[in-house]
Amino acid sequence: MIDGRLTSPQPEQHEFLQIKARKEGGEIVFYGAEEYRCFRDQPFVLNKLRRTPGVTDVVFFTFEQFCYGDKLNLKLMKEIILSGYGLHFAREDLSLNSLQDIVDNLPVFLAYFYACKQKNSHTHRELLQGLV
Amino acid sequence: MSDKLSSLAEGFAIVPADNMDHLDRARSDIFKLTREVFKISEMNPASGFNNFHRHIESCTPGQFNSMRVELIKRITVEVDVSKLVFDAFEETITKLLGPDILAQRGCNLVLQPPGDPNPSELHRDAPANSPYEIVVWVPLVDCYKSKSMYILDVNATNTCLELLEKNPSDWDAFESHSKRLAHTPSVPYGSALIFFTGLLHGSEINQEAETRVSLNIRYKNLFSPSGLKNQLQFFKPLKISNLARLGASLELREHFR
Repeated sequence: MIDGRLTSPQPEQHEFLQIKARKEGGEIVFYGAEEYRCFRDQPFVLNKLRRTPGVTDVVFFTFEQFCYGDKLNLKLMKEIILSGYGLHFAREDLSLNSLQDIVDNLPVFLAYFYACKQKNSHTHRELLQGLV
Repeated sequence: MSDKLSSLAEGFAIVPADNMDHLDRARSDIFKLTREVFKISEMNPASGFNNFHRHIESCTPGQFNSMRVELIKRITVEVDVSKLVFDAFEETITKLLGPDILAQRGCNLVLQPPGDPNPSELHRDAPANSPYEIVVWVPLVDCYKSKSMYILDVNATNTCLELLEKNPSDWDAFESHSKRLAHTPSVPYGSALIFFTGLLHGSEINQEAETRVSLNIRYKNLFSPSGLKNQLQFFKPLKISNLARLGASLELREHFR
């Protein structure tokens, strides 16, 4: 699943997704992206997975795609795993194959979500943008 | 740990390893790969690294760079450098950052032969890195004078940044003023220079007769602001406290049902 919000161009995202899929012993059979009104909750992906036969896993370009809402989108992570799919993140080189994997990584995921949402991060961005 | 380090009043400090075994292991593992990549017959890590430049005399800059990139790739895959360095300086790093610690995933290895015209230019890591990170600079050989690096303390950094702000197009004035105020610490193998990411630092062309070989690795607290780095991509968890796990499990129970 590519991330339409990032400035990273789609060919670059495709390349990362391929690398992660190969590393996990798989191959990409389709690409998708959410409608921009749906970035926060990503309602498309689970439906697409369920109606596409032969798919075993889903690779997202970045974990960031689960951080666009007010809360970390654990609900979707859980639903993907409970539906029997492996869940992978290309840029972070992370793989989740069970609910226990989510639980084990939860402190790190929550810390990432909070660290990135903190104003400090935006201050840095504004600071750097102001310099160019 | 000295008061000087625990307060980080100047923004940097030189500290001896808490456990040399881990540092020796890191150095010997890295030296083993260096020998393989650069076809070095020398067996002793200290003299092998110090005399590294003698083994690359016939290399073009392009060949040297290709081998350096290959070496760094192999180290990243085959040696858990950030864990070994953390284990070597665990007490110090934990006192500075607390019990929940992330470590940089990749390995930054610097090989600076005498006369290498590409030293690290004057810069600071934050911003865009988090100002709540620390850099642990670990020489794998004794480093002194121009074989070492230079660093400005907090006051000197601020003074120089004010100068740059007033004259943003005059890099030469900024650089020469910064270098006048810089410290060039001698850091022996077995110690590390630990510094705040907001400090100006860099290195000069190595004018000594030996090669500088050093690592630089960043550590931060799990919960501190991340700056612009994607902390899941750039860092990996090293230590997660029970309190952080309990907090996460409470959030899971209360907020994500």
